Amino acid sequence: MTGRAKPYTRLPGRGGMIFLMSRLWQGRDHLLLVHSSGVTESYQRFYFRDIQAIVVQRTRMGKFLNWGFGAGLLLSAFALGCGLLLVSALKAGGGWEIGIGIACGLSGTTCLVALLFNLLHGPSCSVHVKTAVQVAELSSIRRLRIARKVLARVKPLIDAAQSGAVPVSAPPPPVSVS
Amino acid sequence: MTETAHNLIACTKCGMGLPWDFRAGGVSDACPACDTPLQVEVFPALFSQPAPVSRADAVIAGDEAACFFHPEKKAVVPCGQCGRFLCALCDLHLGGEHLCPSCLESARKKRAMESWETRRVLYDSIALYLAVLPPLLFITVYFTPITAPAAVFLAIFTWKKPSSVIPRTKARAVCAIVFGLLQIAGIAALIYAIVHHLKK
Repeated sequence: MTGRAKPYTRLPGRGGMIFLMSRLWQGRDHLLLVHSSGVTESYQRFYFRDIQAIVVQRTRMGKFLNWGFGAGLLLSAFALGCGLLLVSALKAGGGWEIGIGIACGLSGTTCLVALLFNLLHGPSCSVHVKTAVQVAELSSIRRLRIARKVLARVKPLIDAAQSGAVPVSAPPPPVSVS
Repeated sequence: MTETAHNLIACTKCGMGLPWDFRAGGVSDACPACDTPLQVEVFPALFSQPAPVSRADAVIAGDEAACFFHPEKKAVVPCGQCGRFLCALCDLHLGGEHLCPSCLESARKKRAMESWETRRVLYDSIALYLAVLPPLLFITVYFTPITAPAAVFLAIFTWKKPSSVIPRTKARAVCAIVFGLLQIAGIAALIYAIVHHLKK
C-alpha cells in the first residue's frame, strides 16, 4: 500500500506579524502563499507556467535593526554605568545596585540576543513574483539567504513547467547581484 | 525586441522600468533610478507571446453545434461537469478542466475544488483557543463552564469539515476535545463537592 502524496511541501521562510503570518508552500504546479491569522487562512497561488520573473530586492531593514539593537545595547551599558555611579555617589543602599543591575542587564541581554539573531540571519530583502498580470510580494521571504534557498528550489520547477513555452527571442541569462 | 507591458520588469522599489541591458547583459546590478541592489531571475514566460484573446466565432452553418449560453455562437468544447456545449467566451479552462460559468459558480459555492479556494476558516484552531485560553486568563476563567463545552462541541461538529489546504493533522481538534472534557470534568467535580459540602 502506498501512502498518499503530500500536496504541498513547505519552503523556507516565515514572515508577517504575530497575528498575520505568511508561509510559502510548493505545490505540484504552483507556489502557494498562505497568510494565516490563527483562525483563518487566505491563499495566493502562483502557477509555475505563469511566473515571468522573480525579483529579489535588498532592503535596509536588517541594517536598521542592527543599529537599533546596537544602540539599545549601548544605552543599557551606559545606563548601568551611570546608575551604579549615581548610587555610589549618593551612597544609597537598599538594593539599588541590584535593581539597576537587573533592569539594565535584562534590557542589554535582550538587545544582545536580538542583535546576534539578526546578524545570524544575514541581510534582509523582499521578493516579488511577476506574472503577466501582477507583481506580488512573497511576504514570507525576508532574508537573502532564505531567498536564495527558495530560488534554488523553485527555479528548476519553473523552468521545467515553461520548457514548452515558445520564446519570441532567446531569453537572457539571469542577472545576479554579486 | 521592444518592451511591452507584458514583458517589462519594473524596479520593485521605485517602479521604474528596468532597461533591457540590465536584464540581458548584467551591466548593472542595481536599479539605475534608485540604485537599489536587485537580483532578477527571468523565465521563458516573459518572452513568450501572450495568448491571443479568443473571440467566439459566430455559427456559420445551421447544423453546427451552438453554445448553450450564446445560441448565435459556435460551440468549441463541452462543459466537463454538465456537458453543455460552450463557445470560446463561456469556456473556462481551470485546473485542466473545461467548465461553464454556472458549474464554476456552483463548485465555488459547494467548495468542491480545493485548488480554487482562497480562504478557509480553521475551526480546529478556534476550538483549541476556546479550550486553552480562558483557563489561562484570570478574567476569562469564569467563562470556562461555557467555553469548555463550546470547544468540545465545535471540535466534534467540525471534525469532518475541510481544514487548511496545507498539510495539517487533527491534533488541535483532539487537544481541544481533551482539554474541554478535562475542564468539564473539573467543573462537575467542583459542583459535586460544593453540593456535597452543603448537604453536610
